[in-house]
Amino acid sequence: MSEPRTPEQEADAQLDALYRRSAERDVSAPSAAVREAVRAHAARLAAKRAGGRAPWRLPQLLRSSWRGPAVLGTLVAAAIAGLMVLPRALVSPPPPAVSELARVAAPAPQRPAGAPAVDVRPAPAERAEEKAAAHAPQLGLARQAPQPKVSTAASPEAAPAAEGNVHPYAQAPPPAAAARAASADAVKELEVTGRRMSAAPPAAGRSANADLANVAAADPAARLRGAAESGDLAAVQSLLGARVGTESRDAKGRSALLLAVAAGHAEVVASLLQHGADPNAADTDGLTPLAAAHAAGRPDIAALLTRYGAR
Amino acid sequence: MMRMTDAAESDEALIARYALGEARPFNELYRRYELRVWRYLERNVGNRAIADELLQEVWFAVARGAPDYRPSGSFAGWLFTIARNRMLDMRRARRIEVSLEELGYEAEPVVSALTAAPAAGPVAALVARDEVSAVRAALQELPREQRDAFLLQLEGDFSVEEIAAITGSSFETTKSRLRYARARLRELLSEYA
Repeated sequence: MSEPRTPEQEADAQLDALYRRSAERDVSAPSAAVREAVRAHAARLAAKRAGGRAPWRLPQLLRSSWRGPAVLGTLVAAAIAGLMVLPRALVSPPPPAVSELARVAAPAPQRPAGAPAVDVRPAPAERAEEKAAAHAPQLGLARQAPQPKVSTAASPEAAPAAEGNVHPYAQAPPPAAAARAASADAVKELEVTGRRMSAAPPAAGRSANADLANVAAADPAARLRGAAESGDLAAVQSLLGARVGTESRDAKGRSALLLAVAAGHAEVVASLLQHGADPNAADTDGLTPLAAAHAAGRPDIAALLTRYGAR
Repeated sequence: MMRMTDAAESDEALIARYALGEARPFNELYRRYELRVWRYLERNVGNRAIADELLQEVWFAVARGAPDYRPSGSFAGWLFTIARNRMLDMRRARRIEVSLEELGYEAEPVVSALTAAPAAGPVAALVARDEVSAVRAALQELPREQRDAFLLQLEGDFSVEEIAAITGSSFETTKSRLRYARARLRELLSEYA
């Protein structure tokens, strides 16, 4: 049994009822032209998505009543056989010569095996999607950035040193090739998103560092955004100390502050705010740092922003 | 096997299907929310043409952003957050100053009455008017933040916590805004409630 309402609650309920009654009686409505435009636009996008990325469906082979179990059984058997053979395959191959390891492993000391960061650009299809979503609402800013597609064949020079039984690290390109490829890509990425700096290996060789430094010097604001997004507090403070402005935006209108907020880097956010970053600088979709903080589930950052005047 | 109809599906399931390339789920979502979002916008900005423009932008953004939607919150929360952000953007861009003349009805006497003698209440000025106009006029008398919170609750069916999240305000602030909004509206609409 519900408790009796207080007079104020009763008055509120009557007010709400009045509002709803008036809304029902109100004949005003959005224009039909808007409805048609929206539905046509949505249908076009749906058709594009359906064409480029059809919903996953069970292969025809597995949909048959008797073939399905048979095929699945075969796959399971193959998987079990694979598990039995796997331990033998995992036995380490004889180590390559010390000189060869020293030559190929030096460029990427902290990168996981088999992940040389030569070309981190998205595949053409992914890039087109990103472009199409350039104005999409970014409440999902806090989500992980899509995994970049890694290619080990950025240039003929970057081909694996040897075919056959080579240690995974050995598939990294020679430092000179990596440096050239990285610097060329860095220029493009810095121009667009500023993310390249955070994706670049910490030490891709002296020449790569020199090139990246030149690129950063050419566009320090992009470097600031990249550092802010990746949470590199030292780099952010260094750039801010060098009087790099905080007002610069990327292609989606995102400031360094918004990127740091969305990625949840509270210390970077604090540093940017202390250096005069605009706490209300929204991206092209109107996503404000405060909204991004709430979307990222970071009330501490939201409180910090509020102290600096975020609305 | 029973096929779930669009009408029975959750908002989140519909937007997920749309993101995969089906057009029909979007139409169902649009049908569910078109009027509510439009009323939220129109009563906030006090201008039908601007509300139409905003509505179109909001749904374009929903269509574009569907693949990026992550169901960490409700679809409605996402939708109204977009709507609110668009509205704030447009306000900043155009410096919208709500003009009651733009509402399409004669509201000046109401405003005059409210401005001249708020303590005495607007009853006398509103009595002769129909309920719909009275409610719309009363809403325009609220401070923006109070009106926004009230409309999010009435049109969006959001809880205080959800409104606080959407508006980026604290729970207590949101609660206060709602309380003040209702108190003022009760005062303005005492003849109708």
